[in-house]
Amino acid sequence: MEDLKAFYWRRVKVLTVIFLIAWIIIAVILPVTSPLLKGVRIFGLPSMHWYMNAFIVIVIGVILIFVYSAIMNKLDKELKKKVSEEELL
Amino acid sequence: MNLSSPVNATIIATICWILCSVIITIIGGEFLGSLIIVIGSIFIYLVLAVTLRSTSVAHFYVAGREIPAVVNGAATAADWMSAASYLSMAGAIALMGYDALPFVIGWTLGYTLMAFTIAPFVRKSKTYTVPELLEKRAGGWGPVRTTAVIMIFVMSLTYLTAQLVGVGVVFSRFLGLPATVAVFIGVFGALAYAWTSGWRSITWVQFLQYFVMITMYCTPVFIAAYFLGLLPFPQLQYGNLIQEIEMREMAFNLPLITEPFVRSIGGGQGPINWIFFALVLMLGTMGLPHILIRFYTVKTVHAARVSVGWALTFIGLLYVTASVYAAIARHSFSALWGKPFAEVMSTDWIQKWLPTGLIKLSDKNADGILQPAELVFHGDIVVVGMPDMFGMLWVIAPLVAVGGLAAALSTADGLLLAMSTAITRDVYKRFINPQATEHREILIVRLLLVIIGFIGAVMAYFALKDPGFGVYVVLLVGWAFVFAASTFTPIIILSIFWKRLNRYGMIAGMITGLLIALPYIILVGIAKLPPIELFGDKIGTIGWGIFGFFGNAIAAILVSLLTKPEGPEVDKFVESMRLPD
Repeated sequence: MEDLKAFYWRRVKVLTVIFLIAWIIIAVILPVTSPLLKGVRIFGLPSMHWYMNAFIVIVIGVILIFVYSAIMNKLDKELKKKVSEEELL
Repeated sequence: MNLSSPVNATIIATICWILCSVIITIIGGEFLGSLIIVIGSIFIYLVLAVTLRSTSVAHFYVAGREIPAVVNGAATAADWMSAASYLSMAGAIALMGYDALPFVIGWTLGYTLMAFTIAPFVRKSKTYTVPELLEKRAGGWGPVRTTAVIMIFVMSLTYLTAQLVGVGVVFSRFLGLPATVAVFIGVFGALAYAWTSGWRSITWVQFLQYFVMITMYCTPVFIAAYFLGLLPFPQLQYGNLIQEIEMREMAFNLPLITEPFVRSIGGGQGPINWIFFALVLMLGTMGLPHILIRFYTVKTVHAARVSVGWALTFIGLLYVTASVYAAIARHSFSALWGKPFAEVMSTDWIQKWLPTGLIKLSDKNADGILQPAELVFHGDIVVVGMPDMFGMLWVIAPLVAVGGLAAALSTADGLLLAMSTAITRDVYKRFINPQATEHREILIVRLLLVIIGFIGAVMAYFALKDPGFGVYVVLLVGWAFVFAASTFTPIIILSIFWKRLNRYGMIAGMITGLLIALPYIILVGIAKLPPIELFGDKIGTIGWGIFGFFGNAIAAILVSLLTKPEGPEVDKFVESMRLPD
């Protein structure tokens, strides 16, 4: 049981670090470097250096949250299954 | 048909609202009609709140922990988006262009970080309030709880005042009624929704208010987009509009709206201040008490995680629309540049809004031509004036006001209740009368709602009467983020991820954070001393909060390491937060 708990928390920690890096990319690195994209225009969108902050990073931010909850949900289910298996033994 | 069912009652109230508005408009004309539309919306929420009445403390504190993820997401969005987001943010972007974008990223991306560092764990703690969580984490040490309650008031009271000021502004801008009187109507609404069953009633009211708010916010944008040929998705199609604005700006030798780092924000300037400002808004979001409480109210841990996603989806909808609003308004204003003064003066919407002082015109160089510098506009005109810029049907303006009122009331509600429950649960029940019955606790919550609501309303009244004081209310709301980022946020994250954090570390962290943030706010923000420069960039009072955040974390870690660990009971509590249900 203790092993399972430790295993679960290790996975959560790894996941947290990965998402923290992803967050730093969208919340710090992309906004700070956005002025480099000045004048880059795709279709009818405004210049990318503007649009990055006004639209793109927010959409990525939403996607990250849903991806995190999906992965965590799977992990929770996995843990529950393992716990019930262990109890049977 | 069951009249006491919340859905039926709300539908019937809405039908009555529409009928009354139509009848009064036919009899009494547009002004009375507008008045009924705006004030009537307050009563629809009231009907919903009354059908949800309850006298259980679990309902009052955490909505019985039975709110579905999507509903919690929408309620979080309404709780979060204030009168400032609704009325003023688009205006800030129209005036400051690229340099106002930290508002957009700063008030959204905090949720992404929150989703995997705070929200699910707060739900798992099984506590009722944030001060309670911190006390339990500090091994049942009372001073931590008291400090947390004080911090909740520091952050929430001025924020509440600003929302009530927002209610006043909505009434005066749209209906021409005295803002000072409207404040008391607003506080009555906010009070009443929280009175019936605390977080349970305001959650569902906020859920409804979110959809009211977003619909009313987008309606004028989509109508204007129709005139400008930007349908079906103006958010994906406004590139050429920005380009047209830039051509006009170039023609008059103005800095372009999309030009980075040419204007100052939060009292500082340059790329470092720009990103610090955004980061402090993000980190502050995560520590604001009325937002943290939202994650106590969901059914499961999984629902807590998903509800953050819904919250940001709903919030994002308004925030990505704000820059379209800004572009459309700036497009309308820049169309007037270079035109003969007489022609500009005879434009319908200019004539309508000139007396309000939101637009100022003066032919400074007396050449009979309007130069860009001769047309000054207040940021609020972007949202409140848009229906007139495109000659929309009169009814659009009061509907936009209904949305603004929903934005202000929903946030005011969350703040009011966060403060009332903090005093009841974390001071009265914890220190004064631990044997209090449920009945007694609810009585105290309701009493405090009235008292705190009244204090907020009086402060808002003075803020509206005395513009000098009003300026500080606006500034204080910005600083609430600095305080949240330098006190709660680092401590809550460390509480979950670092078992070694102890009671002394928590107090040391919060005090250090405050000691870094507060003097800078007083010296630079209030006494107007020149700000500190970092690599040539002036750091404003809000951007400075980033040092409060890291100072807090470092002090908390050092002091914890120097003092003795909390022991097995706290370790067990931390483990219970980390594991799923």
